[in-house]
Amino acid sequence: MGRPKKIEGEIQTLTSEEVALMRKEISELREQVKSQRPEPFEEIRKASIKNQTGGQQITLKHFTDHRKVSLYHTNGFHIGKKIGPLHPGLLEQTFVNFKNKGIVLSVTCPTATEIEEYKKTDEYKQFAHSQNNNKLHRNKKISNTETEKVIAGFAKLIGVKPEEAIQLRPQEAVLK
Amino acid sequence: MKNFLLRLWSLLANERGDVSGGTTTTTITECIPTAVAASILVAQELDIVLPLVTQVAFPGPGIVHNTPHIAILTAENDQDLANQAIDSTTPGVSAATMENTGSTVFLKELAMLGSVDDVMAVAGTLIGRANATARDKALCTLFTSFTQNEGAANTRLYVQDIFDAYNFMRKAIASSPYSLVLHPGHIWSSVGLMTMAASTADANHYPYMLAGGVGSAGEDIARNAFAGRLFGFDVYADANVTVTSRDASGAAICKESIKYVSKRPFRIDVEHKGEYVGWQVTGSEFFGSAILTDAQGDEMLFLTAA
Repeated sequence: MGRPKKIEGEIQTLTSEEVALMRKEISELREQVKSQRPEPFEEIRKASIKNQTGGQQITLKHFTDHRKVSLYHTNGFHIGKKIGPLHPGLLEQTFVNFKNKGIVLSVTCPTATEIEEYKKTDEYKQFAHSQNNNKLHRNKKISNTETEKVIAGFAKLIGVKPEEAIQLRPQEAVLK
Repeated sequence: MKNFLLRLWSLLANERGDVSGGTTTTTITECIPTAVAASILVAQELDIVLPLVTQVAFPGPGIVHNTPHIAILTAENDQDLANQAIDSTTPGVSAATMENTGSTVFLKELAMLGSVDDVMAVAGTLIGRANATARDKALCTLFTSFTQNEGAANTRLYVQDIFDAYNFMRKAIASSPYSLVLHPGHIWSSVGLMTMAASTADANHYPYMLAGGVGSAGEDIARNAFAGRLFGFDVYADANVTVTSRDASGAAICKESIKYVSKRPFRIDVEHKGEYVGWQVTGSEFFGSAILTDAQGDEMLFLTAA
């Protein structure tokens, strides 16, 4: 014997609308319970971070009987460059060595403004000139001036650019 | 009778050494040689610059080791004393002040109950590594104290810079072999030494090194990413070289560039800490280091990364 139609309709209504609502409420409840109940592995992870000591940990500490000191160039090409950090017993020797080369050292690093101002002076230009002269070879292209002249002349003769005159074409272009 | 037999049995067992009063537990004091051996083994691997410099023993009293400087003799026509062999502007003394450096490890008795020997070996390794690094860094920071510098900040290393350093060492009549201690970035980064093998036709590249044939430096680089000897120098890679931003200060040195003075060699001390239920294992040494000959060392300040 089947259910009365009216009742069936109610069950159908319950099934289509209120079930959806029930499902939504159930999922919200699940989220709520989940947020209140701590995850076991997460708690273990937090506990392991808080636990700084343990029978299996070996902590190493390094010690010295002094504090090292850094010095800075106050003039010269390398103004602002750091030296060290050095043992305090080496400061005097370092000061003397650099002073003999015309460089004055200081415990205080010159500021960016002071460095910019110093680079406009003749003293810095003199240091920079000496430094650059020693490094003129940088990025210098290996070239044979006479050879380049011949290539330029040949290129002009055939009506192409010098770099095209000596350019090797790919094999496919030659054999075509 | 029963008591007599018990006493006899006890006496016999004690004689065998396996009952009441006999023990096979290893004490921590007996394991000190284990810690020392582990420390020395690690130190031998990590001491990169130490074998390349002058090593001096300085036992006894005194905390500053002085080495007088003798200038290179040059022909002088001038009779003025200031212009003769001992130059008045030359620093007269290389002074190294002794420092106390060490590392300490606390070993809990709970950890020692497993194996004293194993834990002491670990402690020795940790201490040896820390002390060797401190020693190597103390020597590497001296590179910035050389007044001669082949590079500059934000400048990449080229082959000609190595030739310049070699030129400087030869003009100073420095005794060979010459060593080139560089940061790994100086060698293997995109602005490093290994890029010189690129096929580029300029003064900074040597592509023919790769085509140099069997036994060439190019073959070493292609196979091992490293060549132990380049352009007159024995090359060493040391990550303890001082780094500032993207630059690092390596150096071209010889034996007489730097001195390492040993006051008291490495030693392990063990002390029991009752309130913490464990042993404090301390490895320490007294040493000093200084520039020995400024004219025979060349700082290599270059980029370690693009």
